[in-house]
Amino acid sequence: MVAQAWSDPAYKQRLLTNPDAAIAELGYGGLQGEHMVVVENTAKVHNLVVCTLCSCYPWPVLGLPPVWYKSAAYRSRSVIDPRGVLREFGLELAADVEVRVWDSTAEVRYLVLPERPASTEKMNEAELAALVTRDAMVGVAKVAPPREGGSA
Amino acid sequence: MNGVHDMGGMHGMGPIQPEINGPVFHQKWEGRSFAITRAMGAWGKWNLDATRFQREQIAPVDYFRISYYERWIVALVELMLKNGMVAPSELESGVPDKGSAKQLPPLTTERVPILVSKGVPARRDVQVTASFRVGQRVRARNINPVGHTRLPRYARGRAGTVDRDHGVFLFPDTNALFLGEKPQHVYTVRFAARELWGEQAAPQDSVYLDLWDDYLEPA
Repeated sequence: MVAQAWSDPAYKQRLLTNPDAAIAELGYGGLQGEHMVVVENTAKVHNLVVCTLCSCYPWPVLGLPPVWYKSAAYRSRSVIDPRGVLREFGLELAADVEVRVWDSTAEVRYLVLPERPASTEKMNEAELAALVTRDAMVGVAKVAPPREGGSA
Repeated sequence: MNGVHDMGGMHGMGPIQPEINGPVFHQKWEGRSFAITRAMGAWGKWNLDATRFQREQIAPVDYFRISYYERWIVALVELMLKNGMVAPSELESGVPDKGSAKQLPPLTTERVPILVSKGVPARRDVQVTASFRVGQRVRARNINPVGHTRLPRYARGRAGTVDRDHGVFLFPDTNALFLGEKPQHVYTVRFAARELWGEQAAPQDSVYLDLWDDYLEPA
């Protein structure tokens, strides 16, 4: 899905404006992902998803949440100290980047469309897809460019 | 309720402990806990909001002591007791009481893929007037209900801007207590991080919350 959005501007547009239909195009959807919103990371905007009240997470696209997503540390701190949380994941954001934290308080589920890494212009969709990680789609990591060992 | 589940902004929970390529379930019983919770939910005796509320009522000391899927089981047992689906003596013994009815679960193996792929949508196809419009300044009400609510404490009394209107959804506060669905608009509201946390936050950062019409008032 992410790789297709990177490769196909029309698909990316559909994913951002009509996410439920765009996700269903690729065969995904269902329980705990009935109402999706996709938010885009750019060089200037970094999105991070959390559920402070329980552990809401988009199951159909990301599977069940990892332990850290459900932990008190992540749930408590993501909203008050997102930059500190990201630092603990090894991601240091520049001071001028805008951080948007999405607290999934209702039945809308969020997915981050990560920024396409540099030096990937010649890669095809399958090669791009191999770079994408779950953590990048929650917003606690960036997708690393190839040859740097990947971000997984 | 102002419980410990409402964690946004709390301190002292320690560092994040990322896990690289961790398994979905760390123990077999966690998977069973997940499956049993789904299967029992299919009886329709309660709903997702009631389940969340039940988990929120776990005593704070236990909430932190036990693990995520243990909370699921503890809450499920309470719901089953309340609905007469299991007797305290059966929980004690681990076997059915003499003469207790044996019932087949409505969630059969064949129906699992349907549940998973179709989901349980919370959006309602009814006409309800929206009290707020995109771009409007709003304030999260200062409410402290003892029942279930999805308005976190850290946003109460704070002002933000309606970012988008998601349409009409059932209302968890009433649904959790079986007082009806009370369908109403849900909005994403953008709060400046400094409105929530003061000068320590970066001026350009923000937190977005999905809030129901009843949680908001004009700012």
